[in-house]
Amino acid sequence: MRQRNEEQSEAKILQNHFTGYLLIAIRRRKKDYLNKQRRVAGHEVSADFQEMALPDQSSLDLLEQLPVLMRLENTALLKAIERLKTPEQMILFARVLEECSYDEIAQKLGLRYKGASAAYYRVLQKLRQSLEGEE
Amino acid sequence: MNFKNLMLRAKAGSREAEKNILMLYKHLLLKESIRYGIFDEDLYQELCITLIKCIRKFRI
Repeated sequence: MRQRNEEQSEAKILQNHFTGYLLIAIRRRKKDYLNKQRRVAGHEVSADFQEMALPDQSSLDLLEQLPVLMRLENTALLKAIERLKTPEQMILFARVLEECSYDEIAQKLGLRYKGASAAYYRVLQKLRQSLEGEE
Repeated sequence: MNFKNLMLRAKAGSREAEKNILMLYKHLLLKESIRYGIFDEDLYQELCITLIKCIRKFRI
Protein backbone atom coordinates (compact mmCIF):
# COMPACT_ATOMS: atom_id res chain seq x y z
CA MET A 1 0.00 0.00 0.00
CA ARG A 2 2.76 2.39 0.98
CA GLN A 3 4.60 1.57 -2.17
CA ARG A 4 1.53 2.32 -4.21
CA ASN A 5 1.14 5.70 -2.53
CA GLU A 6 4.72 6.56 -3.28
CA GLU A 7 4.19 5.58 -6.85
CA GLN A 8 1.16 7.85 -7.06
CA SER A 9 2.92 10.80 -5.47
CA GLU A 10 5.85 10.28 -7.80
CA ALA A 11 3.47 10.52 -10.72
CA LYS A 12 1.96 13.67 -9.20
CA ILE A 13 5.38 15.25 -8.82
CA LEU A 14 6.20 14.40 -12.41
CA GLN A 15 2.92 15.87 -13.57
CA ASN A 16 3.53 19.03 -11.55
CA HIS A 17 6.97 19.37 -13.08
CA PHE A 18 5.55 18.97 -16.53
CA THR A 19 2.77 21.50 -15.83
CA GLY A 20 5.34 24.05 -14.67
CA TYR A 21 7.50 23.40 -17.70
CA LEU A 22 4.51 23.68 -19.99
CA LEU A 23 3.29 26.91 -18.36
CA ILE A 24 6.61 28.64 -18.94
CA ALA A 25 6.72 27.46 -22.55
CA ILE A 26 3.14 28.63 -23.09
CA ARG A 27 3.77 32.07 -21.58
CA ARG A 28 6.83 32.54 -23.81
CA ARG A 29 5.02 31.40 -26.94
CA LYS A 30 2.11 33.67 -26.11
CA LYS A 31 4.39 36.66 -25.59
CA ASP A 32 6.09 36.04 -28.93
CA TYR A 33 2.74 35.66 -30.63
CA LEU A 34 1.36 38.89 -29.14
CA ASN A 35 4.52 40.81 -30.01
CA LYS A 36 4.29 39.57 -33.57
CA GLN A 37 0.64 40.61 -33.81
CA ARG A 38 1.48 44.04 -32.41
CA ARG A 39 4.28 44.46 -34.95
CA VAL A 40 1.96 43.52 -37.80
CA ALA A 41 -0.68 45.92 -36.51
CA GLY A 42 1.96 48.67 -36.27
CA HIS A 43 2.95 48.19 -39.88
CA GLU A 44 -0.65 48.24 -40.99
CA VAL A 45 -1.25 51.51 -39.21
CA SER A 46 1.78 53.20 -40.71
CA ALA A 47 0.64 52.14 -44.20
CA ASP A 48 -2.80 53.60 -43.49
CA PHE A 49 -1.34 56.88 -42.35
CA GLN A 50 0.73 57.15 -45.52
CA GLU A 51 -2.35 56.60 -47.61
CA MET A 52 -4.18 59.26 -45.64
CA ALA A 53 -1.28 61.67 -45.82
CA LEU A 54 -0.43 61.33 -49.54
CA PRO A 55 -3.34 63.20 -51.10
CA ASP A 56 -3.42 66.23 -48.86
CA GLN A 57 -6.99 67.13 -49.64
CA SER A 58 -8.37 63.65 -49.04
CA SER A 59 -10.04 64.45 -45.77
CA LEU A 60 -11.64 67.53 -47.29
CA ASP A 61 -12.78 65.55 -50.31
CA LEU A 62 -14.17 63.01 -47.91
CA LEU A 63 -16.11 65.74 -46.17
CA GLU A 64 -17.47 67.05 -49.44
CA GLN A 65 -18.70 63.62 -50.40
CA LEU A 66 -20.59 63.27 -47.19
CA PRO A 67 -24.09 64.70 -47.32
CA VAL A 68 -24.55 64.16 -43.58
CA LEU A 69 -21.78 66.55 -42.73
CA MET A 70 -22.69 68.98 -45.48
CA ARG A 71 -26.27 69.17 -44.28
CA LEU A 72 -24.96 70.29 -40.91
CA GLU A 73 -23.87 73.55 -42.56
CA ASN A 74 -21.77 74.03 -39.51
CA THR A 75 -18.56 75.59 -40.68
CA ALA A 76 -17.29 75.83 -37.12
CA LEU A 77 -17.54 72.06 -36.78
CA LEU A 78 -15.92 71.55 -40.19
CA LYS A 79 -13.05 73.80 -39.21
CA ALA A 80 -12.71 72.05 -35.87
CA ILE A 81 -12.49 68.69 -37.65
CA GLU A 82 -9.93 70.10 -40.07
CA ARG A 83 -7.83 71.25 -37.15
CA LEU A 84 -7.61 67.69 -35.77
CA LYS A 85 -4.51 65.68 -36.58
CA THR A 86 -4.79 62.96 -39.21
CA PRO A 87 -4.84 60.03 -36.75
CA GLU A 88 -7.48 61.81 -34.69
CA GLN A 89 -9.61 62.34 -37.78
CA MET A 90 -9.16 58.69 -38.61
CA ILE A 91 -10.45 57.61 -35.21
CA LEU A 92 -13.39 59.98 -35.43
CA PHE A 93 -14.38 58.91 -38.95
CA ALA A 94 -13.88 55.24 -38.18
CA ARG A 95 -16.14 55.49 -35.16
CA VAL A 96 -18.80 57.89 -36.39
CA LEU A 97 -19.01 57.28 -40.14
CA GLU A 98 -17.83 53.72 -40.66
CA GLU A 99 -19.39 52.69 -37.35
CA CYS A 100 -16.42 50.54 -36.42
CA SER A 101 -16.38 48.97 -32.98
CA TYR A 102 -13.62 49.97 -30.59
CA ASP A 103 -12.12 46.54 -31.14
CA GLU A 104 -11.71 47.20 -34.87
CA ILE A 105 -10.26 50.66 -34.25
CA ALA A 106 -7.92 49.25 -31.63
CA GLN A 107 -6.74 46.60 -34.08
CA LYS A 108 -6.15 49.22 -36.79
CA LEU A 109 -4.09 51.40 -34.49
CA GLY A 110 -2.36 48.65 -32.56
CA LEU A 111 -4.01 49.78 -29.34
CA ARG A 112 -6.03 47.98 -26.73
CA TYR A 113 -9.79 48.29 -26.51
CA LYS A 114 -9.51 50.80 -23.67
CA GLY A 115 -6.86 52.77 -25.52
CA ALA A 116 -9.11 53.11 -28.57
CA SER A 117 -12.13 54.24 -26.58
CA ALA A 118 -10.01 56.68 -24.57
CA ALA A 119 -8.52 58.07 -27.80
CA TYR A 120 -12.01 58.51 -29.25
CA TYR A 121 -13.25 60.38 -26.20
CA ARG A 122 -10.14 62.56 -26.21
CA VAL A 123 -10.92 63.49 -29.82
CA LEU A 124 -14.52 64.35 -28.88
CA GLN A 125 -13.29 66.49 -26.00
CA LYS A 126 -10.87 68.28 -28.28
CA LEU A 127 -13.67 68.94 -30.78
CA ARG A 128 -15.89 70.33 -28.06
CA GLN A 129 -13.19 72.56 -26.69
CA SER A 130 -12.27 73.90 -30.09
CA LEU A 131 -15.98 74.56 -30.87
CA GLU A 132 -16.36 76.47 -27.62
CA GLY A 133 -13.29 78.50 -28.46
CA GLU A 134 -14.84 79.32 -31.85
CA GLU A 135 -18.05 80.63 -30.32
CA MET B 1 -4.01 5.88 -16.02
CA ASN B 2 -0.70 6.94 -14.56
CA PHE B 3 0.62 10.23 -15.87
CA LYS B 4 4.14 8.88 -16.14
CA ASN B 5 2.95 5.98 -18.27
CA LEU B 6 0.99 8.35 -20.44
CA MET B 7 4.04 10.57 -20.83
CA LEU B 8 6.30 7.67 -21.71
CA ARG B 9 3.85 6.37 -24.28
CA ALA B 10 3.42 9.85 -25.76
CA LYS B 11 7.18 10.26 -25.98
CA ALA B 12 7.39 6.87 -27.68
CA GLY B 13 5.09 8.27 -30.35
CA SER B 14 1.64 7.12 -29.33
CA ARG B 15 -0.92 9.48 -30.84
CA GLU B 16 -3.53 8.22 -28.42
CA ALA B 17 -1.39 9.18 -25.39
CA GLU B 18 -0.59 12.57 -26.91
CA LYS B 19 -4.29 13.15 -27.36
CA ASN B 20 -4.96 12.19 -23.75
CA ILE B 21 -2.39 14.68 -22.49
CA LEU B 22 -3.81 17.34 -24.76
CA MET B 23 -7.26 16.66 -23.29
CA LEU B 24 -5.75 16.98 -19.78
CA TYR B 25 -4.38 20.42 -20.56
CA LYS B 26 -7.09 21.59 -22.93
CA HIS B 27 -8.74 23.91 -20.44
CA LEU B 28 -5.44 25.53 -19.54
CA LEU B 29 -4.72 26.15 -23.23
CA LEU B 30 -8.23 27.51 -23.82
CA LYS B 31 -7.87 29.85 -20.86
CA GLU B 32 -4.53 31.12 -22.12
CA SER B 33 -5.94 31.67 -25.63
CA ILE B 34 -8.40 34.35 -24.53
CA ARG B 35 -7.28 37.87 -25.32
CA TYR B 36 -9.24 40.90 -24.15
CA GLY B 37 -12.22 38.62 -23.65
CA ILE B 38 -12.06 37.17 -27.16
CA PHE B 39 -10.99 33.60 -27.95
CA ASP B 40 -8.06 33.68 -30.38
CA GLU B 41 -8.11 30.46 -32.38
CA ASP B 42 -4.67 31.03 -33.96
CA LEU B 43 -3.15 31.47 -30.54
CA TYR B 44 -4.89 28.27 -29.36
CA GLN B 45 -3.34 26.38 -32.28
CA GLU B 46 0.09 27.78 -31.45
CA LEU B 47 -0.29 26.73 -27.82
CA CYS B 48 -1.36 23.19 -28.85
CA ILE B 49 1.80 22.96 -30.95
CA THR B 50 3.79 24.22 -27.96
CA LEU B 51 2.27 21.46 -25.81
CA ILE B 52 3.27 18.76 -28.29
CA LYS B 53 6.78 20.20 -28.46
CA CYS B 54 6.96 20.24 -24.66
CA ILE B 55 5.99 16.56 -24.50
CA ARG B 56 8.85 15.71 -26.84
CA LYS B 57 11.42 17.89 -25.08
CA PHE B 58 10.44 17.09 -21.49
CA ARG B 59 12.97 14.89 -19.68
CA ILE B 60 11.54 12.42 -17.16
